Amino acid sequence: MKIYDTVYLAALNLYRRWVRSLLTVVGVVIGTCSIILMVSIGLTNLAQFDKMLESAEFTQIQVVGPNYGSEGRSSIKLDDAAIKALGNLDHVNKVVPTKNLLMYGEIGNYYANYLNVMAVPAGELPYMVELKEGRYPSENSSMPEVIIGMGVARQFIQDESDYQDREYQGPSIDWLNSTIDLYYGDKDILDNSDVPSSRRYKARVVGIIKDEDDKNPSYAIYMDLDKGKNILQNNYKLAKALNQQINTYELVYVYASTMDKVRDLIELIKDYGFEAYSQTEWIEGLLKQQRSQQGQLAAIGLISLVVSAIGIANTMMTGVLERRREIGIMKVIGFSLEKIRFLFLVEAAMIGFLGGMAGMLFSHLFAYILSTKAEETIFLGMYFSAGIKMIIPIWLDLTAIGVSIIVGIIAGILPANRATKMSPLDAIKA
Amino acid sequence: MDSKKLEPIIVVRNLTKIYRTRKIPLKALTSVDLDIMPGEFVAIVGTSGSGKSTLLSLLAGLEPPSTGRIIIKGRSIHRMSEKQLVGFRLKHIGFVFQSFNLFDMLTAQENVALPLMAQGVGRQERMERAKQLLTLFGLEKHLHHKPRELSGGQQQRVSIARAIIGNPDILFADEPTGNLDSKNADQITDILRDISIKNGTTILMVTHDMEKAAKADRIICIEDGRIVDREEKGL
Ligand SMILES: Nc1ncnc2c1ncn2[C@@H]1O[C@H](COP(=O)(O)OP(=O)(O)OP(=O)(O)O)[C@@H](O)[C@H]1O
Ligand SMILES: [Mg+2]
Repeated sequence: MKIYDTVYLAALNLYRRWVRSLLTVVGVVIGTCSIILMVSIGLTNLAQFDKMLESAEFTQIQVVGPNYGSEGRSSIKLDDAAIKALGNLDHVNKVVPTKNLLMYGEIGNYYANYLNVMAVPAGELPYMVELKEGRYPSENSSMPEVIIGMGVARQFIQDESDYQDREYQGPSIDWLNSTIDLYYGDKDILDNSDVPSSRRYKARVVGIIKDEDDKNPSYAIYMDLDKGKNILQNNYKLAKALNQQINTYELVYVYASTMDKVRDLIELIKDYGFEAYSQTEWIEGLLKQQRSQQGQLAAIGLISLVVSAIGIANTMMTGVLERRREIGIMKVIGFSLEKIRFLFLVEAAMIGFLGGMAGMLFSHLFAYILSTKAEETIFLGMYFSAGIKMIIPIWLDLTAIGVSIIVGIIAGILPANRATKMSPLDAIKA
Repeated sequence: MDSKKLEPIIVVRNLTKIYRTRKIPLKALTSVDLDIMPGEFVAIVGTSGSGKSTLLSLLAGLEPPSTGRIIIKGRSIHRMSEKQLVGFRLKHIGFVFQSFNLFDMLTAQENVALPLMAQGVGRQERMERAKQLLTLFGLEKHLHHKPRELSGGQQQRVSIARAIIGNPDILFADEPTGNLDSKNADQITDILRDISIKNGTTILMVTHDMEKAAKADRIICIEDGRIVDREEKGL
């Protein structure tokens, strides 16, 4: 008996009871779909983490001075000596000290209170911020140069009431190459005659920071660290009044050589008496949680596949019992037990194959539908930072089809064996 | 008859079949002895329940005897495994049923070709041979019809074609005319007789009808599971 004969007979039998066959196939489709989609969602979820883990953020440790609770160790300062010590630690790539300056800004008739200016070594800025236009601040400019995010524009107002307006966009000027008058401190302290007033710094906007997305414009302002330090030194009395130290850093970034060194480095830095944080712990916890989530999803897929296997077994068994007479005739005609068994196995495998194929097509359809969103999404307990972009690799398609064929065959074993046990007598005594 | 000088193709000795499926065991066949010569056309007659079908199914190896021996072409049927029996039937035995037992999903031609499919003959060749046989039986216009599109007589001719397409040595027919009107029944009996003469196929045909039985070389009469009367007919 040729293979194509068996396939032909099996197909005819499926076609003869096509409603039942179809319903059984639908069961397999659901099983295959859930497996493909569950694995795909899992893969998508993991791929996104891979991407996140590649970014420098995850080798970054944020170090701040000893917290106020631990006054006993206040002799430790996050100053230039500490920066040097941190830089000498093993597995440290780079140490970037920063200072935060509270400033008051004016441009034309507009003013902005509470501007938060980050002073960072100019050479590091290209690694930390991406520009939409313009260039990065230079260390050697005579007047301070800043780069700003477009969110900053909205902080410049003419009247307090402007803040009430949700749609307020700030002065409509060309920000690039504009000049902002900056004063160290805030409006209250500048108006206070007991403290010497800040000098005026004409800061030139040389670059615009790229927004993360349209809805979240950056509110950051960066300048070179030395320029920032100069401002503080020039206004040291004001700094004292504002309770800001001149020679220590508020925030220092320590970059580990690799992500797996982060945890140890944090411990080491904490031993010095500083506070240290990183995103790594968060991401590790998240990863662990996502993995267990994926295990659960895979279980859902497997369960639906088991259910579809039971569906196949049930359909096949019904078919065998219904066709006992036919099986008897086949035996009388001279079809061997192996051929009869094989015929039923092929029939079951075909259900699996058809279900697998259709399931694959539906999965791609669902993947297409699910993938259209681009916002932050939580789906089935998993976190997606930029929408679900479903990946269904070829190997997943092929594996799913293979698995559904195998499930069909396994589900067919019992009914097929049953078929071989049908008595040929049923053919004649009826 | 020359064939009588040959060894019998079927030898049955002391064949007994007891069914124990009910409370009281039922003796369907009791000590049957039988010799059938190659090419013989034998009619088996007897009342309903006398054991005719049981005899055929034992001879075809569809169920095992309780005691006794069945030797066909020198081989002991009663000792064969089911696997061996299937192969043996495929090679040497054709079976025609009262209720035709055609596959209703397959066309007449495909039904006839089925035993060749089981033998592993390619589709083209077996369909050609099926076509020839059906043409011989006057069914060339119905090659592609499904069984339910055929009359009873036509269906039985298809089923006979299926039984003989593999050129079996022996053809068993269990009341092949039982579901047919007398005209069709006569035709079928004539076809069987033809096969016996032209192909030299040994035929055992069960029938209720003495008129049909009269067309056979020999009539075996069964009553209550015993062979009671053997009527030899001259040439
Ligand atoms: N599988 C079986 N189990 C139990 N008893 C059976 C079985 N097959 C046949 N019998 C019994 O054996 C006896 C002979 O049956 P068999 O079918 O051989 O009769 P038959 O001569 O073919 O009758 P008919 O002319 O009605 O076809 C009957 O009494 C029947 O009830
Ligand atoms: Mg009978």
